[in-house]
Order: sequence, then structure tokens, then C-alpha cells
Amino acid sequence: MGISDVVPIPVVIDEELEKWTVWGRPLTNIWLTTTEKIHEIIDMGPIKNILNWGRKNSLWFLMQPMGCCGVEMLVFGCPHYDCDRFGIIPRATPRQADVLIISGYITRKYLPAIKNLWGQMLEPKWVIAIGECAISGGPFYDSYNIINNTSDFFPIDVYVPGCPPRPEQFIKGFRELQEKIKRREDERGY
Amino acid sequence: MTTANDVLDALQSAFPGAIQEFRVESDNRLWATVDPNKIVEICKFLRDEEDFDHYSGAAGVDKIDEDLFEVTEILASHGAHPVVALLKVKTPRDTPSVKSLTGLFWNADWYEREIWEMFGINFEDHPGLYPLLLVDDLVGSWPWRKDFKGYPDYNTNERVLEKINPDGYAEYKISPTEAEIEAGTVPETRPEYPTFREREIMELETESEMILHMGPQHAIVPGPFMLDLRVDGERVKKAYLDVGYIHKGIEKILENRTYIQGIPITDRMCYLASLSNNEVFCGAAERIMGIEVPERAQYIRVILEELSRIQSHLLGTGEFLSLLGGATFSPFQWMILDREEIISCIESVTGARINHSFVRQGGVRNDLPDGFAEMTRSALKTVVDKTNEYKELLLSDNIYRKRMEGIGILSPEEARRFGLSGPPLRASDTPYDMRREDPILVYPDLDFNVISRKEGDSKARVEVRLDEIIESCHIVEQCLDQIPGGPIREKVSKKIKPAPGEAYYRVEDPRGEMGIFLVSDGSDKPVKVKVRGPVYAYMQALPPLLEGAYVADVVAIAGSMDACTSEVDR
Amino acid sequence: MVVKNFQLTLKHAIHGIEVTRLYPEVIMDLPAAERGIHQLDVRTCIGCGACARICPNSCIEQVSYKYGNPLKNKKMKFPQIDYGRCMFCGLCVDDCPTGCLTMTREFQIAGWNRNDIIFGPDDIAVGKYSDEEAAKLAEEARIAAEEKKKKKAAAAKAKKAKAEAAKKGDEGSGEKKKEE
Ligand code: SF4
Ligand code: SF4
Ligand code: SF4
Repeated sequence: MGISDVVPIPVVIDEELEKWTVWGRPLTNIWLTTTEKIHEIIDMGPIKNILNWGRKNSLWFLMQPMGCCGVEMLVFGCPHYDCDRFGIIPRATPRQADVLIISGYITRKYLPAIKNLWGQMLEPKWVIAIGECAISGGPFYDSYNIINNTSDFFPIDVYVPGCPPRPEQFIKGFRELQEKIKRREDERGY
Repeated sequence: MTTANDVLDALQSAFPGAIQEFRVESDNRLWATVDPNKIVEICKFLRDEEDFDHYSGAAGVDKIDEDLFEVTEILASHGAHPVVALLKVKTPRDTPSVKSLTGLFWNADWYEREIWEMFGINFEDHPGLYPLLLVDDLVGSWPWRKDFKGYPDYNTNERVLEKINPDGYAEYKISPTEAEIEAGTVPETRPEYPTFREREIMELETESEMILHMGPQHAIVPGPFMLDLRVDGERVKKAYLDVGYIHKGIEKILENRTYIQGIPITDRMCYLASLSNNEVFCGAAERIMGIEVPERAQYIRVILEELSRIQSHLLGTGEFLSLLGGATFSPFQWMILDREEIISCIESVTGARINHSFVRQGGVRNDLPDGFAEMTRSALKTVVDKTNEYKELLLSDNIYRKRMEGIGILSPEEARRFGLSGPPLRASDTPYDMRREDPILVYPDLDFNVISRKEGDSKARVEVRLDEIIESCHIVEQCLDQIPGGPIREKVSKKIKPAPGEAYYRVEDPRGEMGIFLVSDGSDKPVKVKVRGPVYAYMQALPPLLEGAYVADVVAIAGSMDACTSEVDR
Repeated sequence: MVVKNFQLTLKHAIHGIEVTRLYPEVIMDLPAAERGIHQLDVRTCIGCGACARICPNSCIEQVSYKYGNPLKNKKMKFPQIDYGRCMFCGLCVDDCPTGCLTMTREFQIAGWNRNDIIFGPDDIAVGKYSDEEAAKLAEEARIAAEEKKKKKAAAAKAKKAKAEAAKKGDEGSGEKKKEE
């Protein structure tokens, strides 16, 4: 389909236009665009950088205390560490969150639940593993009920060691994630 | 005052021959092995005649050498006397079965279910022997038995099969590996029972009833647990509670760590009371070893435990207030501010914010740093001032009072029947405090009040906590004045090997009675560690407490218990 | 009512106390007891492995590393710590016989990959020897080892000789006895 189908112009112009390219792609592709194409274009161009700049500065996380690290997560949102400074805001529902913080031990019984939480989060989304348990099972690495390698189940972007990590470490983890998003090296490739 | 010997005499005259063995450890600990057929009558006698109205819990021990299982019932009294009776029942390993105490003590239910799912010991006449903590896949492999082969090379990851069910949700099946089948870890026969979901659907009565799920992840849930409410309109008809979402198997892990290595693991039982947990684990070992902690170390322990009680209450109350009214009840943020000051004080001694691993068998890890007393005094002053302000604030706030007064009322009898301890029990007019009942460390030398309230509603529970903060500040100040110099750790060998024996040691942790039942066989690892946590009882009491409440009050009732899921699941 | 409830907030707002710890720019003062990332004095570590044995999470592994002190650490094995598992309990520090493993106030670690947070001896070491020093020390250690070997050999020889002498003596005496 060419432009001459839509606008009454000579076919010659249409043929001429098809030779033009923008960022190595035929101009007509952009012209007669679909959502998919918009995404393709965004993915390659600097628009993505602008989007990612927005994303990285408004990382809302799911308030989902699971273990001891959950306590530090509360403190992380409170005045002493004030995560709002970085655009990091706690949310109570997965539908509004961008970042899943795995803040403790994942057991066999909890795995389906947390996997569903992850499934309910809207794209784009990232995972941060906070604490030993979320990374490797930590102190409970040899328990019969603990999933000891979380990265098999979640595309973990940043590993933050500590048991529990200090609230500063949470900020550090988020800043690493921001860096990763900025450089477009995150696991899921946004 | 009744002592263990009196109880023993009474038992022996009432049940001649039923007591097979006994040991009177001290005035307030009675150990006895009793005839399995008479256990119910004996417990009934103790409950009715000797005031043993507090069922503290039960522990199973796998005595694989003797081809026996032992179930130890722990009975105590709500204030009538300080004796703890530990009654052991033996049962053969191939057909393990003991009599259930659910008919006598309402709260025996969960303890027995736990022993059943972990050891496979059957409880005769138990009304519903369903798994409590374990995922359905694991039931039948009896993980706490000594011959459970899934430990320690248990790599779960390789065998998880993901399946998306028709509703679009992920489901997981844990499939056994070949090696495991060969090793015989996978049970051939699994017990059959209706699952949690099936049980609650079975009980639906009329068309207008529905099940409302809260959790495992929910904005109000402090840790993962599932609260299912059967509601009819706005009223909760019945509540069902499913716990075990963060069951880590700490008790099993402790059996595979030496006494020293176990200390950091006990921190993680309840992360808001990690110092009390350390204390209770080390204290139990000290009891067996028979060592006395130097006085300075005792003072340091008391100071830190009380500080940790303050921070725990501040966080618990603050979090609860924020649940009640979102950000409107801003004390949450203020309380966190105060809590940080206390945390800084603790951190300057232990070096960690949450999980301290500080207490050692025979003493503590390091001494107080310079300037600790001044720092703590100034922090305490702030905390006392602020807490008084919060109390005034909450008292003057009509919205808060209307929301909290008269809901979730626990009468003293009910609270005792549920086996509660700590602030919820004390809010129900029962001044029952381990620091008074079963004094340890230097608590007898200190002057403090046991806070209690008459009302027994949600508001009283919060008030008790706030008052306890002030009382704890008072205790810490006394300790800072009185603390003597001297060594901080008794000489113990690097490899701690307590003599064969058992001990039951309990302390008052921020949430109530925390006890550890420790069995040693003379090696460097414990044979069995059973944790009796206070929140276990709170959680068990939650469903009956929520019955008949409005859905809107569920948060105000459940939150006021200040439950820490981690300790329930362990 | 509302005003009363805001009293506390207003009171504190007016006082203008700053509580936020401006983390990435300012790091708050931590106490000396803080249990942060480990620090290993490679000059004194003897490679005994006590730290690895006590660790409840078995996250310490003894690995080879060349900038240590071969005079003290014969096999040149130093601890490598997996921070993806270490729970900062401090037991390893308490158990180190030479006190060369300590915990610092440094706590900032975060990794993009799992391997980023496994710290080898190089990452936690202080007092590393330079290449020449290491070579020199290695040489010294070699000489010392050789000397020791020689000594040992000599000692063994002496012992043997002694034993033989004793044997001979024995035999001699035996003979003597026989003669008698
Ligand atoms: S990493 Fe440590 S602090 Fe965090 S949940 Fe696990 S045990 Fe608790
Ligand atoms: S760090 Fe200490 S305990 Fe570990 S190997 Fe070196 S000397 Fe031994
Ligand atoms: S701090 Fe504890 S967990 Fe970490 S390496 Fe040392 S002993 Fe192991």
C-alpha cells in the first residue's frame, strides 16, 4: 500500500518516496504505521532513551514484606532514607508497581503466589533480589522448603547482598537498576 | 507457692504407677515420662486440680536409636504458680500414635497438627489432622524425622515444573528426582485429606455466603499468610487461616548446625526480637551445661533485650496505625524516627540493625562501647516524651477511638483458653509476664510493673504496648545505673558440647512467652530444638476472634495482635 | 480535633530538625562495631581455614592467591567470600586465630550478576604485596622450605643414624649378653 492510495498524488511520487529512508528504514513504513511499528521505531531510536529516562526515575515498587528484609523495606520508605527522593514509591498492589523486590525467603508454598504477583505486574517491570535469601537461600540454603536459586524463576536485575541490607543498600540497589536501565542492559531488555 | 515436688507428689498419689520416670530439675521444672494411656487423665487432673491451665505447646523428638518417638506436652499455669510440667509420652516408631489433648486444651490443635505433618505421629481423636505449615507435596515425607533423606542435599530448583492452569495462573508441581525415588525419600503412600481450599468450600452454607481472600500478599498483611473469610454480607461468619508461606524449617536446620553456628539462625525466627531469640537459644544450652553467666553480661543482655522490645513495639504499633488509616495516622513515620534512635543504640553494641547474633553461650559477644550510656539515655528520653505524646494523641482522637473501642474483645477466660501471652493477654486483665513468672538474668533485681488493661479490646492492646515502651525505658535506665564491671563471657570451650539432657527455657520476648525446648545428646549439635513462639498462639486465636466481626474491622483486630508471621512459620 | 492531631506534626515541622540521611552523598557515621564487608590482612593470614569451617552458611572457600605471605601461609590459600550467601554474622571473625579477618564499616555492595558479589581474596585484601615483594617472599619461602627440608632430612638422617647406632648397640649388647 502506498500513499497514492490514500492521498490523490501521482504514483511516481509514491515510488520516489519509497526509496527514502529514516534510520535505515523505508519512510513509508513509518508513514503507514501500526502500533507494532511504533514500538519497533521506538526501540531503535533515541526516543527509547527518553522513555527509559522517565522509567528509571519513577520506579515504583511492590510493598511486599516477606522476611526480615521486609522490615528494612519499611524503613527505606520512611523519613530517614526517604525513597521518594529518587522517584521510588511503595505501592500496595502489583498492578501499579514496576519493580518486584524479593525481600526474603521464597518457599515452595509461596512460589506460586509470588510468581502470580510477578505475572500481574504490568510491563515494563524489573526484579531486585534483596538479601541473601532472595539470592541464594542464605542461611536456609539447605532447608527442605526453600527455593535456593531464585534467578531460575525471576529475571533478576540487581543483587543486593546483606542480611538484611541496610536501607542505604536498598537505595544503592535501585541506583544500580537505574544505571542498568539507562544503559539498556537490563535482563528483559527495555 | 506450689513447687515441682508438690505437683509430683499430687500426681503420684492420684495416678499410682502412671509416672514411669521423673526428674525434678528445679523448683519450677518437672519432667516426667507418663503412661501413654493415661496422658489425657493426667493432663485433666493437672488442669483442674493443679491450675495448669496454660497449654504451652508440644514437641516431638525422634529417638531413632531407641526406635521411639517422644511427644512432650508442655503445661504451665497462668499466674497461679511458676511450675512448668513437661510430660513425655513414648510411642513406637513404626506405628506412632498418641492421644490427642484437643479435648482438654483448645490450642493443642495446631501443635498436634504440626507434629503430625513433620513426624507422622498420629493423634487419636484429633478433630482435623490436616497439614499446617507444609506444602501439600511434602506431606508424607515427614521432614523432621532423623531419617529424612531430603536433607541436606535438597535442591528444589531442578524439580519444579511450571504449569499454567486454565485461569491463567501459574501452578507448580515439585517432582521428585530419580535419585530421590531410589533413595526412598519419596513416600509411596501419602495421607489423604481435603486441601485447605476444599475444606473451606465444603463449609459454605447458603447462597449468599462467599469467601473473601486476604493474602498471601495483601496490603494489610505484615508477612505472607492467607486469611480467608467466609462472609455473609458485611459479617464474617468464619475465618480460615493458612500459614506456612514462609516456613523455613529453622528447627531442622538447627539440628544440623553446631551450637555456635545456630545462633545466627535463631535471629531469623522473629527478626524483631532477635536478641530474645538468641537469649532463649543460648539460655537453654546454658541450663544444660549448668553455667552461670557473669553479671555484667546479664545486664548487657537485659539492656539490649529491653531496647529491642522498645523498637519492636514502636514498629508494631506504628505499622498497625498506618494500616488503620493509611497515612492519616501519621504516628507511623514518627515512630520510625524514634525507632531509628533506639536502633542506633543497639547497633553501636552489636554492629547490626536487625539480626544481631550477639548473645553467646556463657555471655555476650562484645562489651558496651564508650559513650553508650549517654547515647542511650538521651534516646530513651526522646522515646518516653514522644510515647507520652502518642498516648495523648490516640486518647484524644475520636475517629481512632470509635474505630478501636469495643472491637475484637477477648475476655480473660478466652484469652487464657487460646494460650495467648504477651500484650494481648495482658490487655485482657491477666498480668502474666515471663519476667515475673519465670525470672531469668537480673530481672528479679529490677523494679518494674507488669502493664495490664481490663478491657481486652484492640485499643487496650495498643495501649499496653505503648505503656510497655515506657516501662522498658525505665528498666534500661535502671540497668545503666546498676551495671557492674567485670568479665562479659564465662570461659567455655570453643567446641560447645553440653552433656546429654534436656532443658526448657523461656523468656518474655516483645510478643510474649518465647520458649525453647532443647534436647542434647552430648554431641556438638542439638538433637532437637523446639521453638514455642508467642505469635503461633496469636495466629491460632485469630479465626475465632474474627468470627462475627465486620469485614471493615478485620484489619483493626488482626493488626492489633502485632503478629510476626516469620515466627509462626519458622 | 484535627488541629490537635496536627499539633505534633506542626511542632516538629517548626523545629526544623533534619532527619533524612542523604545517603548517596553523605554516609552516616557507623559505630566501630559495625559488621560490614570483610577485610583480610593477607600479610598475617595463615590459611588455616578456621573461618571456612565455622561459617554456618558455608560461604567461605579457600582459594589460591599469590600476593600473600608465603612464609606464614604455606599453601597460599586465602578465603573467598560469597556475599550472595554471607549473612554478616561475624562468626568467622570471632574464630580467626590471627585476627587477620575483620569486618569493616563499608557496606555498599550490589551486583548486576550473581558472580559480581563473590569476593575473592583480591577484593577484600589489605596489605597486598607488590609483584617484586611477592617474588622475593616466595623466594625466601622457598629457601626456608628448602632449609627446612634439609634440616628435616638431616634430622631424619641423624635419627636414622642414631637408631642404627642404637640397634647396633642393642645388637652389640645382645651379643655381649650372649657372650656372657
Ligand atoms: S536475607 Fe537475611 S535478613 Fe533478609 S530475609 Fe533472608 S535471613 Fe532475613
Ligand atoms: S582468615 Fe583467619 S581463619 Fe581464615 S584462613 Fe586466614 S588466618 Fe585462618
Ligand atoms: S560473616 Fe558469617 S556468614 Fe559471613 S562469611 Fe563470616 S561466618 Fe560466614
